[in-house]
Amino acid sequence: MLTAIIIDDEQKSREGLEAMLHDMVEGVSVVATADSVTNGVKAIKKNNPDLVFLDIEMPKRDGFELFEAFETIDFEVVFTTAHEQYASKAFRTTAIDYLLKPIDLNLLQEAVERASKKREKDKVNKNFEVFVNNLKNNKSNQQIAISSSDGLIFIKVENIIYLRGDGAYTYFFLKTGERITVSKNLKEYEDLLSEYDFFRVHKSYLIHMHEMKKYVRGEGGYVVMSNGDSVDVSKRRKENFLAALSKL
Amino acid sequence: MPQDDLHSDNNLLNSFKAFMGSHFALNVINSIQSDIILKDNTSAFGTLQIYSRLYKTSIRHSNEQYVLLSDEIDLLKDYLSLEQIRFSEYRIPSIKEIHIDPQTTVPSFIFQSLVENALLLSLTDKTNHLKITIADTDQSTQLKISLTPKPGKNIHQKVQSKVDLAIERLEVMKTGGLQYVLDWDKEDFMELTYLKQ
Repeated sequence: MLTAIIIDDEQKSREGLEAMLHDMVEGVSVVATADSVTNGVKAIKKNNPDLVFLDIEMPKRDGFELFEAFETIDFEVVFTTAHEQYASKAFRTTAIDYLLKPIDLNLLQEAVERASKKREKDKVNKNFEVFVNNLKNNKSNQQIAISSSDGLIFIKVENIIYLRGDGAYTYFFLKTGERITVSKNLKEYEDLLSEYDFFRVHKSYLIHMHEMKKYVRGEGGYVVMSNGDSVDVSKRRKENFLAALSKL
Repeated sequence: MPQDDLHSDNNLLNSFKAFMGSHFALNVINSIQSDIILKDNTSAFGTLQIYSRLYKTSIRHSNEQYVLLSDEIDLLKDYLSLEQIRFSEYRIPSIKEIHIDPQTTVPSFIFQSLVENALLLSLTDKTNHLKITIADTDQSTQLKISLTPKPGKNIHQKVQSKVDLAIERLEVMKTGGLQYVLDWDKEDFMELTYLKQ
């Protein structure tokens, strides 16, 4: 049974969707509702749901701003809105569906089913990934396994130059010149790679400290990597970055 | 058909589409759907009645560049009632009417877009108390909208194109003899004054 939260500024809309899910859709239980992004963030942190039904146009903060409150998006998102124009932006986030109001029951059922399957698949992948990574680490073979759409890709840590995060996606830049896209956010890899001398120099960048060619001072400054790419260092992280440099 | 008339007709049709084809209409239908699921027949019936009336009035107004002021006020009242149903936690004010002459005519759909803009601004910032006044004198008809605190010229992103369309339409109608002043910087948030011919 999936747990769900509904975020919508219209009371009647929240109540209607909650009743629809309760009476007409199997496999989902609404654990909380919220009338704004701010209250939605609180409800998600408190309830840790599998699925969030999210309205887009709400007073003060729109639905897309919800993602800024989380380092890791560990829930599925279904947008519910009367506006068609946000669909492409919605799918660039972690959205698994985009339902137009008034909500079609069949599409709602399909969205819940899709979310359920994705949660199950993610769980299996995550368990396997953890297992493989543990195995590799135990053998002192510095490789990591990352999930792709059709399985796992093994990458030698020494071949990674840096990683760039963009919302729900992370891009790996390798010494081979390849760029690999993974549908997980940067925070997950920060946790995994921190023990291999990787450092988060910016909200969007995690760099391999052994692949730096040059650090150029500035307000935050920037780093030139071994492949010639420049990576900004944020002002906020500069001090910790310089401390990490001195320990290399 | 002369080019100006064609332009006016297109603008009128676009105004109708911008109103009845908008997120507003879809949200009202969603609200009725919620009532049905929640088995609140009274609310569903009431909302459907108002929406049907608004729809019929809008269809009628979509064929007329000018409509009776009293009809436009009725349309506004229905519009505000539906918004009140959607945003039940917020008190939407009634329109203050001063000396309305039932025979006065005004361009169709213009008031609605400006009122919707002010309403959205007041919903976004609840310290923005909304007040809508329509006054009719021998010389002019005036729509005054107050927001407290007064934000100056401010158009909500959701209705930017709709307000632009209304202003464009007023400009086109100017060539047909309409005299108007749209002032965003008076003591009130916004004043729209039509001079009677």
